[in-house]
Amino acid sequence: MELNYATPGIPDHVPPELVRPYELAERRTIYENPYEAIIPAVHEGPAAFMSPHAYLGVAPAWVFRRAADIKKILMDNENFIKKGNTSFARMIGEDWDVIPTELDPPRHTAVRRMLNPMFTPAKVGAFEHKVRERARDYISAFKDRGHCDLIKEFAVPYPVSIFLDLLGLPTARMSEFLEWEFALIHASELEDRVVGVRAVKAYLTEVIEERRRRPGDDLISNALQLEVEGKKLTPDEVFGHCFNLFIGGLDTVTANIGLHFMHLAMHQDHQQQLRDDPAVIPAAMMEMLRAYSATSHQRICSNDVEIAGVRIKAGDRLLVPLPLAGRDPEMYESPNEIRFGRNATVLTFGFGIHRCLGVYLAQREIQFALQEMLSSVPTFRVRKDFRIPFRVGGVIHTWSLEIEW
Amino acid sequence: MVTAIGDAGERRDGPRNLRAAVDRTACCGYALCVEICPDMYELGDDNVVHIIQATIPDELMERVRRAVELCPQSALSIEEGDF
Repeated sequence: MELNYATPGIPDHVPPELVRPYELAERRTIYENPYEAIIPAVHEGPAAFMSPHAYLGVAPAWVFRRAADIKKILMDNENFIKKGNTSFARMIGEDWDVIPTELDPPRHTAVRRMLNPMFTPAKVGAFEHKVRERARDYISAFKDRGHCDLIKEFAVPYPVSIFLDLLGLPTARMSEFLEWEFALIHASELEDRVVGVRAVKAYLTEVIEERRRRPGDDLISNALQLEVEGKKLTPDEVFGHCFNLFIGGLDTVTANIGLHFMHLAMHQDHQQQLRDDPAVIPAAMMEMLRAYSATSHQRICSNDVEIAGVRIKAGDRLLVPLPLAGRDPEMYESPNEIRFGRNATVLTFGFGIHRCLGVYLAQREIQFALQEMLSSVPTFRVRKDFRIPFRVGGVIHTWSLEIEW
Repeated sequence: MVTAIGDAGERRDGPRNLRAAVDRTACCGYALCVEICPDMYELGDDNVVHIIQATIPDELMERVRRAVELCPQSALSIEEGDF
């Protein structure tokens, strides 16, 4: 394997005082809120530091904590590239790109130009009534019961079932797909992640072949028709794109919805504010997206550069944690306070050319979740004695959230 | 004469006449500006952003600035000049 998983050492040019642990990158479950217990302490440290396992849990990477530096990195596609950054292909000894997220310009630009029209606000708006109905369906199953596990009964099946519909994949197999997704994104052990990647590869390859023979009205069939720079995608590219859709659609909205409801269950005054004035919900959602940003991203340095006062060399790996950006005291006044009227710039869906392709769907899903829950379920709180499990790593999740009302 | 306005380049002296501009060769239709300020930007049938009203009304200025800041392709700008 090209990427050395045998714990490669810290490069010589890194000053020893800038080598430090970074707890948020360790894939594990903790029982304290990482936004309170870990992130503020990171903001008391240096602007950039190198952590031995920050890169996908297996290799050293520079970690940046300031929103201004993160914006600079995400806008600089010459010095900070993405080729091969997820390592999913290399994990199984293959060579394909996750598309578009592992592409760099100019190919990335050409691909996004063709993909963006499929996910515009207008395209999503055309089926948003179905999204809202789906939220209502799941909520009505538990709203009269007085309690639920908000993650298992809502934050998982609601956005995931919508995405499976878009891909034309069977909702009946959702739990199997989620097992693979969990393995490849969240598993602590590399071997488990490899199993997840192989399972998704085998399944999607089969589905793509089937759609090639019998096209339908779904995103996988669309990928087969897509022309970029006048040419259809190669079989590897079609697969790489479907893989990107699969990993993008089955995890992050669940994380965001879970974290937002965790916040509201613990802050009933904030619930009340939204119940009294539902018009505040869109702004409240943006504020919670800022404060509970969930994903961290990788870049690979392609030239020697200096950023945040440190020298970075070509080949160095970078971790860009959006949960840190969202709580940066230099960017946001009192960042640990949730203020629905803040109206701040939010980096949660990324910044620059790799901004989330599904953002307009994701925002609607989260907003409808908040609106429908608050209008159907009375004031809810975390069930007494329930300890909220948080999964940290590349994506921060509340793993389970037992609430009652 | 038209001057592009950068972060520090906002001129307060003299009459201001600010208008929104889009570099349509750079635009890839991310539509972020459409989501932030639909009164100013729209996506055309060619999937490239079009400006709805050239001169930026004061009440939209904050939204336009945010759209300019967040455009993934850096395709948006605010221009100043005598139009």
